[in-house]
Amino acid sequence: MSLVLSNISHTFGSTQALKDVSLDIKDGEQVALIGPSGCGKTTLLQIMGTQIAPAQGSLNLLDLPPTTLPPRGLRQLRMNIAMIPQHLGLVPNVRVLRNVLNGGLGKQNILSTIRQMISPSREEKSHCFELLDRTGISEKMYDRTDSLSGGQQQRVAVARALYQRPVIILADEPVSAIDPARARDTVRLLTHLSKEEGVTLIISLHDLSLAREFFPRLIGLREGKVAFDKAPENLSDVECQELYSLRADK
Amino acid sequence: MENPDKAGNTRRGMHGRKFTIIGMMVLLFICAWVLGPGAETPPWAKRSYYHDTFKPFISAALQPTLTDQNQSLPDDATPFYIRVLTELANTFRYALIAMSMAVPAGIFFGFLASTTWWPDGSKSRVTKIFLRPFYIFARFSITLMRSIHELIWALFFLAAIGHSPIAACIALALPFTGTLAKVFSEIIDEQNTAARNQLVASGGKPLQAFLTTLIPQSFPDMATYTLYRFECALRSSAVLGFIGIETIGLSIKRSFENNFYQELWTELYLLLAVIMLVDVLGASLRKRLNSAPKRKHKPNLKLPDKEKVIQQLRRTAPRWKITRLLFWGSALLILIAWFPSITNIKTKPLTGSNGIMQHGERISLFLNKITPQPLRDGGTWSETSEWAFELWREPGKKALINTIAMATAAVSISALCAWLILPMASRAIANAAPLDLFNGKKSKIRTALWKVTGFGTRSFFLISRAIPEYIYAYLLIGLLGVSAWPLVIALAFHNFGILGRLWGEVMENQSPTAAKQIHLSGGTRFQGYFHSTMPESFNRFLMYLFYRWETCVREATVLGMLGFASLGLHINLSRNFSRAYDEMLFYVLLGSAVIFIGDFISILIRRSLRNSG
Repeated sequence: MSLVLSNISHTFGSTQALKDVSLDIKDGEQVALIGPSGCGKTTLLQIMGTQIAPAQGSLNLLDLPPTTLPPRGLRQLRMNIAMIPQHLGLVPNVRVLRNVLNGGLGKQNILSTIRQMISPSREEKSHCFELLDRTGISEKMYDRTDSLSGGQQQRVAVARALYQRPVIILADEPVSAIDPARARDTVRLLTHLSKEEGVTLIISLHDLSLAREFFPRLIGLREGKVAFDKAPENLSDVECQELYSLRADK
Repeated sequence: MENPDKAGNTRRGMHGRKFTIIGMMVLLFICAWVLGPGAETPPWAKRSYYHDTFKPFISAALQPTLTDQNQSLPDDATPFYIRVLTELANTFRYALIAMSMAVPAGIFFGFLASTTWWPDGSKSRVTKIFLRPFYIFARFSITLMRSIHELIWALFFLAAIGHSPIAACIALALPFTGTLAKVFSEIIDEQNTAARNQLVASGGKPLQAFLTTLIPQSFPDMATYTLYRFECALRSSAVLGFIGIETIGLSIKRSFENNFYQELWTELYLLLAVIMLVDVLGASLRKRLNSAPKRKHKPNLKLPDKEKVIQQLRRTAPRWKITRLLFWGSALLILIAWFPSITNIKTKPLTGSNGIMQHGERISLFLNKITPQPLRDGGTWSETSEWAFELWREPGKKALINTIAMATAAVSISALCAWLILPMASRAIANAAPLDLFNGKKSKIRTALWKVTGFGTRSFFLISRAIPEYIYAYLLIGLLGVSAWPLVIALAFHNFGILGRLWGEVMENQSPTAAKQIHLSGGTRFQGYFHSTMPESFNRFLMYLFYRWETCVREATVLGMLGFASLGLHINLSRNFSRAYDEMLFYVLLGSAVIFIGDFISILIRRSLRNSG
């Protein structure tokens, strides 16, 4: 089992972000989290990525409980989880190569990081090139990251995630800032690559049609609760409309 | 639709701005009252002043010379132009040596004074307890180093280890280390932490994330600031000439003392040229580091060998030439500055001539003299505090008040002037089509006029900051007589130029959307500046102003050495007449206490600004 969440709740101040969420996600599964703004998608992903500890409930990631791990153990767990945040978290004024190599820091000590900053080895460069080739931007390997377009920078973030050799990839709204055609391309790339590598992929999406097209399992979140957890072919239009409807009771 | 709370804030902010500007004028009046009128017998009261001093001084500006004005020199004397160029090279060399020490030290202290690389998690509490003393030590030494002016450090060092260029270089390097460390740590703290947090979340250690994200992210700001500091080092190195180190300041002093005004102008023009060159270089470096270079040739990805493709990509990667050139150029220059023997250039040794006394003997004598007098004579600490209190009552208190008044008056004058003139220097506003908006039918005359205005104002800012305030003050005291006002004018004029640059950069980084809106609804460029650009940048303007005030207090302390009753004068008196280094130290510490208090206030202001916004 990749991920087991039982009865997770979380609050920020007086806002309840998640209420009693329980989920099982198997190894290699591809899951899309869908729901309106503020439904708790990002919080759920942050808990799955061990960025925040849940206020209540228990969590098992790759058969380990992250909330009880010491910093070193947590780092080792984190090496297996690649997060692609909405803002990508790339260093703007360094080369693409450097940003991809940053994915492998967890497996290095300080000295080899410094060695790598001065001059990356042939293997590191060649591995990075392969990944950039697979995401379709290998010719940008030595360009400054901020000279790339938004869609290209997303591909850098994907390559960085793959460089980490993760077991789970978490992506938070990776396609919210690009046009529909490119969004479709990126989602296809992510699902394709994770299938090839056998990596568990959990992604949050605004676009319901994209989610239905590419993911065998959809989890709908509404007001911090799981509204449905189904395969797209079992999902009715009414359920979808309800998920996004502006209810007056708020 | 405006949120009531937000509207309230805006209104309060507006009152705050008016209050600040009126308050500054009131402060200026108070300071003027404290400082009193000009010299009692101004030199221009003498009938011959115009013919003997003023006219030759001004007319010499148009006739700089490369030959000696002194007719009675022996034949074998070094000609003027060689002497001046040697001193100019020395100015450059000492500044370079000082910076080559200050930058690594600044990085080291800046690193210690930043907490962004500390390990996190509850288990690291022990490590943090271990790190905290280093942090506090670094913060304290940074403030101590920069609270004392380089010229005063130089006076101490020359007294302690003898008259040698290396002592002067170390004296330069100390306050520069402090300033660089402070600014470096602030630059690092202000970086966007998104990339750093991303790496920590994927298993990197905080120190690794610090090295691979925050350091490269802050590199452009750190590099441009270092170049700006080098420009300051050139100015300070020039001023060292006034205490006898062989830099261009020495010639300036001698030429002025002997009324060789043509020589003087040559020296001023040379210094101006060198500093303006560095300034322009800095501006072009900043522009390049903040933008990505473009790829010129499309790479060929069809090569059979993957390694070859990588090599090719690397070879053809877009890069800025000037950054590399600057890096290797300065590395080479630093090497030559330290070890001129690797070239054929003949220079004086950095350690100077040893003189009669040995180093150890000199230092122990100095340490003896710097010990407060009652303690030296075997007295108690209570006697010492009595001694200090006496010094404070007469003349310390008055001197401190005068020093602060000079600094405050100068800062207020320069701020008010820069604030009004700034739009005329802005590349966005002083333009035939301000803010890149369509501005009606183009006219060549109007375009040319605005180009001249913008270029002229920018050059005026550049010239005013290129010459150090000490040199302005020295010349003005000679021309206007001894009083506080030549010093205040010198300080104000130099700061006017610095503020023009700092504020100009703030404005450049500001989003022009609101100002554009004013233009599009029929407003003028100045309405756009005063109603949008200025209020939006006001808080950052104020922050810089406060930082300049601190610098002015340090500077005013030193300018006092030229003869006005302030801390500087008493520092100079106690050094020159009685070698009373203990009294000198007392006045120096009095001045640095002001900086410590200022630093504390600025930390509070920064914190409240950060929390409010």
